[in-house]
This record gives sequence, C-alpha cells and structure tokens, in this order.
Amino acid sequence: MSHTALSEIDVFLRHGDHPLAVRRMMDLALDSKQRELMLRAMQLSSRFRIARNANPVNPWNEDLAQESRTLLHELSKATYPAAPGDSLLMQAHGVSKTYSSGAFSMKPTSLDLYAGQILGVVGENGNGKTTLLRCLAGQLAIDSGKISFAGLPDHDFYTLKNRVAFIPQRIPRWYGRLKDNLHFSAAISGVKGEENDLMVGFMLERFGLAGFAELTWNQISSGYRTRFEIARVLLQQPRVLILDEPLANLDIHAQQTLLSDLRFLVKSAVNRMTVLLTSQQLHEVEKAADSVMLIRQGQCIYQTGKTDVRSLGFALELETPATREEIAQALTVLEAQVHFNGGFFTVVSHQHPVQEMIKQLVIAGIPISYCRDISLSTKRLF
Amino acid sequence: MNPEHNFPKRPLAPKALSRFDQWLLKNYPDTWSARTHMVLYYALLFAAAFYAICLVMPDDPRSTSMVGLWVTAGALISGIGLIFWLVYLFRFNVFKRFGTLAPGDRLRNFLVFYLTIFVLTVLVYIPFVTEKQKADATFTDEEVIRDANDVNYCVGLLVKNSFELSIKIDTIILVGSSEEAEQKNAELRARNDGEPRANSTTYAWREQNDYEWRMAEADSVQKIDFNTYVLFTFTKLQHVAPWYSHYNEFSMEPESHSAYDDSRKRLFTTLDLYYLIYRDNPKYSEEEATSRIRKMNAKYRLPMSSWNYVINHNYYGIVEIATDGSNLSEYINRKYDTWSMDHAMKNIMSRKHRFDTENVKSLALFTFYFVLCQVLLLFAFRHSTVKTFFLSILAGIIIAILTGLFLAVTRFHERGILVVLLVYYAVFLAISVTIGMSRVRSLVKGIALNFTFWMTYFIPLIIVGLYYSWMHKLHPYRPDAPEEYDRVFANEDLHYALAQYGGAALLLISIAFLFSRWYRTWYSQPEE
Repeated sequence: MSHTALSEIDVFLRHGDHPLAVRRMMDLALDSKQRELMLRAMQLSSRFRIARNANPVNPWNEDLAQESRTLLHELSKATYPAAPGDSLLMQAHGVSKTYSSGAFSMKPTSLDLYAGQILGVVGENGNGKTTLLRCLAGQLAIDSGKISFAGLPDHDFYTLKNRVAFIPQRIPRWYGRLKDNLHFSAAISGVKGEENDLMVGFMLERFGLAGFAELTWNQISSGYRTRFEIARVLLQQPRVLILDEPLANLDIHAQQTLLSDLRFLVKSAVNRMTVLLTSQQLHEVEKAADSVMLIRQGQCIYQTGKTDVRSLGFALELETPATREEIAQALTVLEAQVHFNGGFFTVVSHQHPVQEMIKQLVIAGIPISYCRDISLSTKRLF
Repeated sequence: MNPEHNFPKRPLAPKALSRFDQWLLKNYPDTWSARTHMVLYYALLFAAAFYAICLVMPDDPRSTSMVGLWVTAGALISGIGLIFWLVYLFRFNVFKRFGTLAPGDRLRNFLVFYLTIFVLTVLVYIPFVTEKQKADATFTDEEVIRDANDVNYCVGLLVKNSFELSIKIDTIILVGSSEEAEQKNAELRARNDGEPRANSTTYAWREQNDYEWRMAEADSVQKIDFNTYVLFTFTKLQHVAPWYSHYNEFSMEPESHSAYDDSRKRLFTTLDLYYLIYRDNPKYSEEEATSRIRKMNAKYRLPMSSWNYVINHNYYGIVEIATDGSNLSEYINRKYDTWSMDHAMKNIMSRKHRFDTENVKSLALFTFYFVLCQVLLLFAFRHSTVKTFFLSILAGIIIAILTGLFLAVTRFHERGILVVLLVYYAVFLAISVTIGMSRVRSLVKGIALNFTFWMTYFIPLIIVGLYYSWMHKLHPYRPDAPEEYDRVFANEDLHYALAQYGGAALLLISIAFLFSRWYRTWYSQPEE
C-alpha cells in the first residue's frame, strides 16, 4: 500500500499537484507512526501554507521542492504496519423505523459496512437518509431488524457510540477555542500527554485548520466547522464515520478536497475505518464512494452490486444551447430518446454507447457546454 | 508549534495556572472539564480580596453586627461565580461525548463537583471570621464577664434598699404523656376556679418545650422526688449578661451551651448575686459603686448610639422605682444605662463565639447538606438529558403533592411518611435495575434513575428514623422508670450520626459501582 502511495505522491509532485502531494505525505507519515516523520510532514505543510498565503499563484519554491523530496525519501525508507484487511465492521439487517407520529416510515433496509470502504447514501430530501444514518449511529431506536457491530455485544450502546462517529448536517455548537476542543476530544479517547499535542497539531495541519486554532465557533465559517468536526471525530479514532450531508457547507474545491481526504483516510493503516455519507452532490458521491445506495420514500431502491441499471440503456447528460429538435435530429441514426428536465437534456439509447452519441453530436455541429455519461449513475433513477 | 505560547486569555491568571490548565486538558480531560482548578484559584483571589475588605471596613464589636449584609454580598458574588462555573461546566462533558471512561471516573467527578461547590459556599463565611478576629483583638472573654459581674454587683448594691426582693416558687410534676399533662392541668385549673395560684403547680410532659424552658429559666431548681421539681425564681438581679440563654444544672440541653461553659461558670447568676448582695450584705461606698458603673458605661457605650442620647439627656426623666421592684429593669436602665452595656456585651460575645464547637457543628451540617443537594442535582443533570432532568424535578413536585394529600387524608403518622419514602425508593430502584434490559432510552426509567440517585444518601437516615419512631411508640417515657427510657434511646444520636456517614458511604459506593453503569447504559440507549 505504501509503495502505491509513494508512487502516487511522486506523480502528484511531478505534475504540480502540490497540495494533494503534501496531504498525501502527511497521511503516509501518520501511517508510519513515527513521531519524527509526522513532525517533518507537519513542518512541510506549515511552510507550504505560509508560502501559499504569501504567493497564492506560485507558492511552490525550490526550498519546498527540496524538503518534499527529502521527506519522500525518508517516507520511502520507513516501515509501515501491515494494513488490516477489509473486514466486515457493521451490519444492518432488515432495519425499519416508523416515527410515533406516523408521518414517515423507513422500510426494512439491509447493508454491510466494510473497513476501508465508503458507502454513499443518496436520495431526495425527506426520503429517510438521515433516519437510516441515525439508526446506524445508535441514536434512534429501530422497530425491527438488527444492527450489529463486529466484536460488540448487542446492548453495549456506549461502546458502540464510542466507535461510531456521527456528524450531523447541522453541526452542534462548541465552546472555547478550536484547538482546546481538539485536545479534549483526543484526550477523552485516550490520546494523552505529548501524543495529544502531536496528534492535535497534526490534525490542525492536515485539515487546514492551523490558522484557525485559536479561534472560536463564531469566528470561523461553516465550511471550517465541518472540517473541524471531521478532525475532531478522527482524533477519537472511530471505526465507522457517518456523515450527514458533509458537502452541504463546502465550496466546490473544499468538496473535492474532503472527498479525496476521505478516500485516503478510510485506507489508513493506523485506523482503517468505513465511511457512510449522504449528499445531494450525486456525482461527487458516486466518484468517491465504493458503493452507492439510493433511498426513495424510505425504501432502498438501488444498491451498487445488487441492482443493475444497465438494462435501462446508455444515458448521456447534456447541457447545450441547442434545441431538443436539433439534438433529436443529430441523433436520429442512433434511435435515441431525448428528455429535458428544465436544466439538462438526458439522451437515452438502448443500443449505442455514450461515445457514439457524443460523436454524432459533434458531427452535427451541436455545441456542448457540459456532458456526462450517467449510464451507471443513480441519477437515472431520480 | 509550541502550544504553550498561546494560552486562552484569562484575567489575573498566571502562566503557571494556564500551563496547568493545558496539562489537565491533555491528560485528565474529565477533571479539566470540571474546572475545579480555576474555581479554586479565583475563589482564593476572591477570598483574599473579600477578607481584606472585611478586615479594613470599620466595625465596632460593641455594635449590632452587620455581618448579614456582608454575607449576603458574599453569597451573591459566590452565586455569580457558581453560575459562571456552571456555564463553563456544561461546555464539555466526557460522559455525554462517549469518551473512554475508567472505573471510578464518575466517583472522582462527583467528589470534584462537591469540592468546587463547597469552596464556593464557604467563601460566604469570611465576614464571620473577620468579625471574630476584630472582637478577639479588642476584648477577651474574661474581661467581658468580669465587667458584667462588676456592673451587676454594683447595680445590685445601689438598688438593694429601694425595693423588696420577691421569690416565686413553682412546682413541676412530670407525667407520661401530653394527654395526661393536659388532663391533670385541667383538673388543677378547675380546682382553683381557673385562677393560677401564687405558688403554682404544673403537670408537664418531658418532651414539652415549655417544661424545658421553665426548668432552664429558673434561678434555682430543687428535685423533690423522681418526677417533682420545685423552681425558684427571684426578682431579676442580672441586668447585664453577655449572652441570652439561661443555664442551670437541670437545663435539658446543657451541651448546647457548652461553648460558653468555661466563662459562664464565672458569670454571676441571679442566685449568685442574691448570695453576694443580700445574704453576705457587704459594706460598700455608693460613690465608688457609681463610679465603677460609669467606667463600664464609658467602656461599652457606643459613641453614636441614639439610645445614649436619650439616656444622657434624661429624655424620659428618671422614674421612681416601685416598691415591689416590678419596674426595676426600666429604672436601673434609665439610671445606669445597663441596656447599652448589655447590648454591647452580647454583640461582642456573639462575634467572639461564632466558631465555637456547637456553632461550627451546625454550620458544617448546614454546609454539608446545602452542598450535597446542589451536587446531587448537578450530577444528575450532567448524566441525563435536559428533558429527563427537568421532568424528574416536575415529577418530584407532583409526587410530593400527591403523597402529602394521601397522608393528610389517611391521617398517616411520621412513620407512615418514612414507610412511603422507602416504598418509593424500592420502586425507583426496581425500575433502575431493569435499565440494562431495555433497547430504548426510556423517559420513565431515566426519571426513576434520577430519583434512586437522589434518595440513596437518605435511605440509612430514613431507616434509622423509622426504627426510632417505632421505638418511641413501643417505649414511651415513663416518669417512674426514666432509666429504661434513657437506656433504650442512649445511642439515638450516635445512630443518626452513623446513618449520615453510612448514607455518604452508600452513595459513593453506589456511584462507583451502580450509578455510573446505569447512567452510562441509559444515556447511550437510542431514543424512541
């Protein structure tokens, strides 16, 4: 795993993806469990941050390049603990929930959560995503079915909640300085003394919070609050991380950063965990998640590997100034159907793949401002 | 990168304290979140400032104490401190964050809360300390008593020939019950056509307050047989006394006056004064006696007293003394200003003896229960949901009202109340035991758990109270066999004391081994 990571970092550095390379080096340093390497990685990140503040356009200078090469060399010489296998961490079988008001009912739902994997839960508002997440996090009592956590007795909810971290969409307010909250969270999970200092400093740097360490809740934006919350729960080293709409408060860049970070973090050799997240950012979730679950009216209607959407044919999502007639005309030979949802055109063909559709559109001279192959996406089910 | 460079800004906090704060945060988060170290530091600062202010404020030990105002001010500031502490306390809670809990953590948490509230509470007593120090520095006990004896003796000599001394003699016969006393007294009244006799007889029950007071107030008591006492009361000769209460060898609660025992023995009682003035009939110089009284008057009179003005300017004019001495006190006061001296001496002595053993015992007991009640509430709040906590309070009020109505309607006795409390506890305990069997966080079980927690300390006290209530019913006081009564109830106070210690031990053990587990299980269960 470390060899893959090292070569990834090398590629990032060669192609100028410096922020990604630095973050990845930090992850690798954390995996090494070596204090010296972690401090070096933090130092590199800190210097890079300062350089970016001073020169946002071209922050990567020769000193940083030299330092990163040296660190990468040392990371390559370090020994890493063997990554644990992707074992089953949590299992929900036939879980259902009806609120006492009777206003909403979640039908029996089953899912398996494996270490090292991300499960994305998508669906329209008010269809039961948060209910499912809260049931899995042990916050809501279930009516039927069973939720089991590997190695834990059924009734031990305290330990379960110690191992399953839930970050709600509306992050609960915290008090005092950001840094102190992180120290506290680490300490209550047994990370104490010098290790506490090291881990908090590391997480502050890793999640871009170092410049905000002394600030309070009122002094940081909602996007940074999300980052803080993730850093906080990660310090508690949960085995399952459940995030409800974590992308909601983030800008596009921050969304990409978070999702890529999650992908790295679940594979961590130090704390291999599973991530369960919901989002309205369908494509982003599909890109980051190992499997996706679509919930409609409290029922799971799609789950990666269990439901096949190929039978629905090939589908292209398209944004163009051209009219529906012009698009239909261009695709006549492919016998494709053209739908319009008010924002995008969706072109569906049972015979011809998306590449052929695009080819025909280009040949017909249709201007394309955006297109996406959604043949295997849950978006087709919306 | 050194985290020590940036400490949170706190007024008057030294770096060492901030460093310690950070050390606690990173090593003992549960203790850190209780903020006891901060409370102790700021309480120490406040105590020093408050002490200094109380010390430098002008306060004449002879004047009426204004300590009530200072205590109120201290209590208000302490209350504000408590509110600040609670605000900080509710910010971090290891328990509700599902942190790693070690065995004994909850117990330590409880003790830390207790220490914090205790410190905030005892700050209020600082004005008592400064008052005592000022009084101690100005007057000694011996000095005040010697002066009081001197005044009483001189006044007695000067007025002894102006009126006729009277001696009132009463008889008290003890009977077994209040009903019997009532019946016998009614018979006596009927025999005397409702008119009391000069030398009256009263049938009294041992547990009557009136009986105790009469015994204590008499100048001399003679025990005739096992249940009959003769009480002698003279015309009052003690016009100046440094304390209010009376004392003689038959006082029912001599231990309650033990604080004054040493000095009290040297204070002349009316009987002493009778012997010294009337029996010994000493020769004296009127001029010298008057001069001694004036000297004492100058020593104890407050310069700004309005009463002094009245006296010194003979505002009301000197009254003549009645031959039977019925207006003796008023006459003496107007002539010698004894009330001012008496008042000043009482003020001085009450200041000096605020921390005598008996007072400290009462204060300690009050402080213990005052702090305990707050800690019990706080601990329950920290370990249950806001909704459950406040519903528990509401349920407590409703249960108290319903129980009160039930007891009133069914005319239950004290024993009935105690039995009902034990039944409640048994029910709450039984519900709490089933918490582990539930898969849902039940509101009813949460309320029952809070009640079990709140009542546990008091259970040994309730049991002892119930036991002695039965024993009083089974072994009522019999005047013909008082030793039997004394034997049965010889250890009653000891048993109540042991019940309090036992209650504390039971509560602490329960927190460590039961409540921590029950609260942990209950709080972590999923909501409905």
